[in-house]
Amino acid sequence: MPRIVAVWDLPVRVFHWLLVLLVVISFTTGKLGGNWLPWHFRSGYCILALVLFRIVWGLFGSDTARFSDFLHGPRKVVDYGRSLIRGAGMFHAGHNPLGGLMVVLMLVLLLVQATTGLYVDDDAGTRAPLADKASEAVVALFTRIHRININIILACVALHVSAALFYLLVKKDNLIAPMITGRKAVPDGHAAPAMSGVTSAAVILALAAAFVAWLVLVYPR
Amino acid sequence: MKKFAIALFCLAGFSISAHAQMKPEDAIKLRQSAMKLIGYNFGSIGAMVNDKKPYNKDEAIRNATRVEQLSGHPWEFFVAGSDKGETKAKSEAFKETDKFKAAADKLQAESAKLAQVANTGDLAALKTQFGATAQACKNCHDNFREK
Repeated sequence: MPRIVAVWDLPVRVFHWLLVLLVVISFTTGKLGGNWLPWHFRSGYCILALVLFRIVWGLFGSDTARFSDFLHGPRKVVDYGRSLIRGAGMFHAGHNPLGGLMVVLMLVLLLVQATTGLYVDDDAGTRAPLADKASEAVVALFTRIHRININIILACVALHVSAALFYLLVKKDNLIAPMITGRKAVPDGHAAPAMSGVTSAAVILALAAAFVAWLVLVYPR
Repeated sequence: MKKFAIALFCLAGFSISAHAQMKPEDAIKLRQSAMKLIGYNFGSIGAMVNDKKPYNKDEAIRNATRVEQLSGHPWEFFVAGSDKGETKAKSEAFKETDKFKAAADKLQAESAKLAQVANTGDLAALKTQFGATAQACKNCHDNFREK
């Protein structure tokens, strides 16, 4: 008999949906510009803090939050891809090897986007907080990366959403509901993953937020 | 006297045709220089409203007045043939001239408001009008300039 167990801790779920919200806000305010730009900045700072939190949580968090749980070599990824083509795909309580790859890719891309964003000169009167800390060559390069990388992020978001819909509609495997409730049916022979406490996550997030605040408010002075 | 009048007429005719036949590379340099000066003055206001340097009313007025004066300047240098060369201007700037002119007019209208607001010394209002003016810069850049 499959049991319903906790697979995603609260920090992972809150991280995920906050990130969804903030990416939408960042993209929209970035396109609009003008008096929306201050909100673009704030949203970007929040994304940077969240991504830094998630990287640390990937080392010390719950079983399913850890990189060691979902980062696999190319062989395992290919094996999983094959099993997915044949049928339901091998069961994973947390991220499957393909999904795990997307998590890391997304974190790297968002880290690049948020970091380069701190150095942007928009050629319309606004320089991001750290632009005066770098040479104009670095500012020009990072501004360029910031403008190109958003398209790569959008492509990954499209792929990610398509994959979730593919599992839901074709594989009859709802991956979205567990990311809301945190719970999922686990077949016999699979142990329930260990969940970490919320307090340690709150402390890590507070430290990440403090670091970002220092980076944009204190360091440029 | 007659000779002088003819000479003057020729000179005038020459200078008009010289402007019309301005070398594309000179036109590109001139409009980029105008943009640079706008950018310098507008960036100074940006630094003030974004709390990167102390607000100084006189400096803000000077910057905003210059932005207003210069905001009509770059467009006369988008002459025929200057779509090629050391420029980031998209070919659309030379083809969709009505749309391009509307974008340029928008900047001039917002810049005029910026100068007005700067004169009041109201920093919060200056910040808002800075945003509106920056949006005019951005919309035109998005449509008519390569990234």
